[in-house]
Amino acid sequence: MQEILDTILVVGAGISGIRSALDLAIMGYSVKLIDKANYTGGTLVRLDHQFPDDSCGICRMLPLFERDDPGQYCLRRGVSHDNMEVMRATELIGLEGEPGRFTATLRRKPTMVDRDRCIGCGRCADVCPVVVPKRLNDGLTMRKAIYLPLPYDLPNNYVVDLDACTRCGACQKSCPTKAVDLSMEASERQIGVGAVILAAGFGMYSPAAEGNYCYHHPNVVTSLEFERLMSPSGPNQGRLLRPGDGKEAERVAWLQCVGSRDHKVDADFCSSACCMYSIKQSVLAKEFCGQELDAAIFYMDMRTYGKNFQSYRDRAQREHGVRFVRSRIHSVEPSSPRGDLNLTYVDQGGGMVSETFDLVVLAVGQRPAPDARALAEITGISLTPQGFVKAQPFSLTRSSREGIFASGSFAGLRDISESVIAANGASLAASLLLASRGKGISEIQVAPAAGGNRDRAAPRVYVAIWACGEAMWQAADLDDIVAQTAPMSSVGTVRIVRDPDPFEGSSELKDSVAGSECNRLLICSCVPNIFAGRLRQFAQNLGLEASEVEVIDLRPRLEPEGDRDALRIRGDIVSRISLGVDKLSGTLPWRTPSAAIEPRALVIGGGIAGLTAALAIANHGFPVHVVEKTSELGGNLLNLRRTLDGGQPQRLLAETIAAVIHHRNIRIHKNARVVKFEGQVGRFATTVMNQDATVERIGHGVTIVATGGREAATKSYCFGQSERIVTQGEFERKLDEGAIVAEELGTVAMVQCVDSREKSRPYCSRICCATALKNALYLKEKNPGGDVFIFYRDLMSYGFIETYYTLARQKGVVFIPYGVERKPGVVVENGAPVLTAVDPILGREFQIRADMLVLSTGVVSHNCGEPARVLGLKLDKNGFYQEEESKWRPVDLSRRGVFGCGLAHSPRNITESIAMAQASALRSLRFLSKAQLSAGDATLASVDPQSCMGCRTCVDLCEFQAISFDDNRKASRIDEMMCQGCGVCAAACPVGAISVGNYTAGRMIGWIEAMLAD
Amino acid sequence: MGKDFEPKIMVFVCNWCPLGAVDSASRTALPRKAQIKVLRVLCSGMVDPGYVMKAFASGADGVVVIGCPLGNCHYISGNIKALRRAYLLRNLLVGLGVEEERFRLEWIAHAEQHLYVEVVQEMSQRLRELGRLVVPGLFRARGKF
Ligand code: FES
Repeated sequence: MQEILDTILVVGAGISGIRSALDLAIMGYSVKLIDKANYTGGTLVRLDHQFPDDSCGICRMLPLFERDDPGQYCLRRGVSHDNMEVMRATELIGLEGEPGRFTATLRRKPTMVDRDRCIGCGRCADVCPVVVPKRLNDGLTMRKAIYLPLPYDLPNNYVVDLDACTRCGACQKSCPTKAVDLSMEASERQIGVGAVILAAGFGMYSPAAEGNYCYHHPNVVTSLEFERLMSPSGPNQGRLLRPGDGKEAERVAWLQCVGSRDHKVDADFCSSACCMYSIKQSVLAKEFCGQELDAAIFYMDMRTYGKNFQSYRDRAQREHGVRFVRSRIHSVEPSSPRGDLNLTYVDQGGGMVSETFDLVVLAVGQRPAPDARALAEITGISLTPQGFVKAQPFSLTRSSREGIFASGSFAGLRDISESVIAANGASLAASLLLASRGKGISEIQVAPAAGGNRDRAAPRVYVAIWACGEAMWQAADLDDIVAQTAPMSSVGTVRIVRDPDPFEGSSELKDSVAGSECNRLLICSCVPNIFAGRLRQFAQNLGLEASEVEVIDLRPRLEPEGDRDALRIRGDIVSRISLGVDKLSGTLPWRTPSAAIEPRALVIGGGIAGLTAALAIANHGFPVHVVEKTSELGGNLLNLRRTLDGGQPQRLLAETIAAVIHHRNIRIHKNARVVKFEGQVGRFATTVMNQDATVERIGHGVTIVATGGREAATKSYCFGQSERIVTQGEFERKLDEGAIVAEELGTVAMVQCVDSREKSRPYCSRICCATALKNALYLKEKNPGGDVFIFYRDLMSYGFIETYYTLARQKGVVFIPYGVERKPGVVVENGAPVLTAVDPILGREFQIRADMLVLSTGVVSHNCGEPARVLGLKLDKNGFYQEEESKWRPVDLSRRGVFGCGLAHSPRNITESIAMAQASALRSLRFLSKAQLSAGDATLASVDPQSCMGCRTCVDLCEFQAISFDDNRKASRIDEMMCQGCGVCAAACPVGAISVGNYTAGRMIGWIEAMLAD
Repeated sequence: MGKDFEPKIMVFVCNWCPLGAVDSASRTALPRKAQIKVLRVLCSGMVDPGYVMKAFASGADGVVVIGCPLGNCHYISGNIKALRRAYLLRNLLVGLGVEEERFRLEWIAHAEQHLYVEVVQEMSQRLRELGRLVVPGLFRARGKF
């Protein structure tokens, strides 16, 4: 039988692809990450600012431990990891075999430029005669047929746009390094993979075909075009000018739901992300252009369903003065071919209103990825009628075929944070598959290389200059550089390397270094990042420590020709080499600090989230303790009978519980609670008090908190004054138990947002609208003649839930909007509730006598305060666990090594809670998969206890809780595992007692002196 | 100081957001009549005021510290610390007789290469007007270093 393969193919290198690939690479799998584009980053490269903090922060996806495996630079510039191979301009064109052993055929499109030779000088683009619109800027600017896909990419290579290229050959002639080769052909390659993760992203609706949005007008743009308009790297370099006539925009309108929630364009779904990105754009525009800018959002429902979305909207309205106009758009008409636009809409009262705007932004909806069909065919998975991946019940990531998983927005409509969660889920699913076939992380683990501490021999540096771009070196005169380098102090050998791949197996370089007397290695290269990752491996084979090797960037800072003479270029290069030599010769060898990991997990909370996480970890072979406060497993799910899409939650729960209680790796503590929690990631010690008051101390490496939530109690709307007034939860339970009979109910009224999204509880509970739809549809099914009225503020039927909203309206459920300032009134007459509300269109009051009034009271966390206190976790202002970073690390809580999921983190439906639990499990496995956790190596702070005067300035400054004050030593102490090596403490220390790795004050000063010396 | 005066500008650039902009700018037109020395640091928060002083003392006519846009610091708040420090540093420099414009603290995102070019251009322009920095005697008194 063929062997199971531990390589995983990730198709698509956008946010979710990068997330999945990094997850798996960190766990130890070998990963092939491909993208058909010439760059990585997917849609993100076009978005400069993201909700909710209007900043980027993608680099926070990089791991906080073992920081040396992935490249430590901005992830927008590319992604790298020792266990990962990134292939750009590459597509998946065939997949054979079965789960665990697929054979994937990859096709690499020719870019006509040899990546290894290109030095990015740009001469080719200067001579290229073809000018085409730049896709990155959505065609708002122009570029040549040979171009840089991203200006800041690493390494930055030119590529040829094959569709535009006329094959004139000018670029080929101009290239100083002979990197351009117009005869290059596509190449194919077959690789064996155990599983495939599809992360091909999403498509965007094109409003071109729709008449009433007037998209052909230059001042009507899509939301993505607007991002580029505002971008500093966009056409106006950050000024908001309208494309038609270059006038500064003063009045901007956002039109929501363009291509979403619209039968006419085959979109019976909500694209989920547009409401928030429009608010973000409006706030940014206000900040960019000043508060005078009129920013108005025209919407049907503002879907602020996610964690902290509502408060973001409130802030936009209150602090920034963004106008929110509930309306239906009638038409957009130009007043001149390149000028203003007249927007006509129907307002809430039914009146027709016209306003004039400078710029109209269409918040276009999402569509399946352009490649979705092709990929589905190649991989043999099924799609939904709308063309999205059809996922298994209660899963966001498992496709219809085993071994093929969907990640991020490829599997549905998501924003960044949800994409990251789904990407984690996809990695977990892939890892679980391989684990079940005997290729889990415990099997593939490699033992850390052993090596003793070396004696402190005098440093001798081997300088290897990698001559990549010939032309550049001609200008610089290589021999002269060698001649100037050799006499530097501590330099042992200087050598020019011409080998295209100097690190391969038994290369010349290796023998040469081994044969020399040198104990330090300096690689000088124009493409330093290619080397950085593989160099460590290479060094290790030579018996060198990470701190004893260094790669320096010799890319010439090219300036217009003639501007600098050869002498200065040479001088610049020599000074950089001397800095590198200096850096190495000053380092004393040290071992990368590491700490043993207790290979065990603790899960607090035995609801579906906790159990899912426990099971996933246990199935990877690690012991798990589950602590449940009550006597029963299941949590909230015990109360749920049906889901909106016809899923069977009780069956899911029964299966999960059965799997958990029979699992040999899981131990359950019922009626138990955590009374003490100590230690830190890798080595937590938790004291659990069991039912019989015995205490038990558990050592574990990671912690997952899933302490759950519950339906909020209420006193509003006469709740408690009649048994005919119930909450949604009670209603569902009573219907199920037969205490209420659907067929006997003539009129049922439901009120949404009870006590929610207002001062007392400012957030949206996300699941209540779907629950109301579910119960309303159930009533209509059992009793089609009965009346159901739903009073709502904004109906949060995000994503595919929208379909059920449509269905409910078709079935005759009546939806009546109300404003928070005019809530429906309720009185109890003869034991039955009577509602008084205002007809939004006629403005008149009307009354409904209901047989049943059902209140959607929302979700509150389940006494998170107690566990939060014991575990030392932060809560957000709404009482849920506070995550570290809402977009990039959504399940990491404020204490490292502790992850949160389920309702205690934020309100979510079953499938979403499960996805989050999977993400938490994956983040935990990332630690458990290693016997030893190691810190970053060369850049860690250390304190000289002799100099420390005990002022403790550094202790409070450190954002990573890495510094504590040691009362015995009377000096600060740095926890190397927590230290991220930023150097803030060193700069702040008034006596210079702290230094960060190689960046000691003395050397910094030395470098500054050397650089400025003439 | 004639037209030929080429100011030396020392640039401390954070490894994260701004490095992309600085890298891509170094391939395009930078001011012709200036010597720009770029030193990569891990975070703008690690730039000790002493390094800035040292740069001036070693012959820089101007110093620029470039960090990630506020809110984007890879280490969460390093740039805010740099901002606080810059305020004191500026006062100190002015007190020593170094013109305020010789020191700049900037936030530049990965895609804002034009901003970097602008900053360097403006600065070299201004430095050419101000002329070479005459290092005040007080600089020689060494503090932490
Ligand atoms: S990481 Fe760039 S300023 Fe801190």
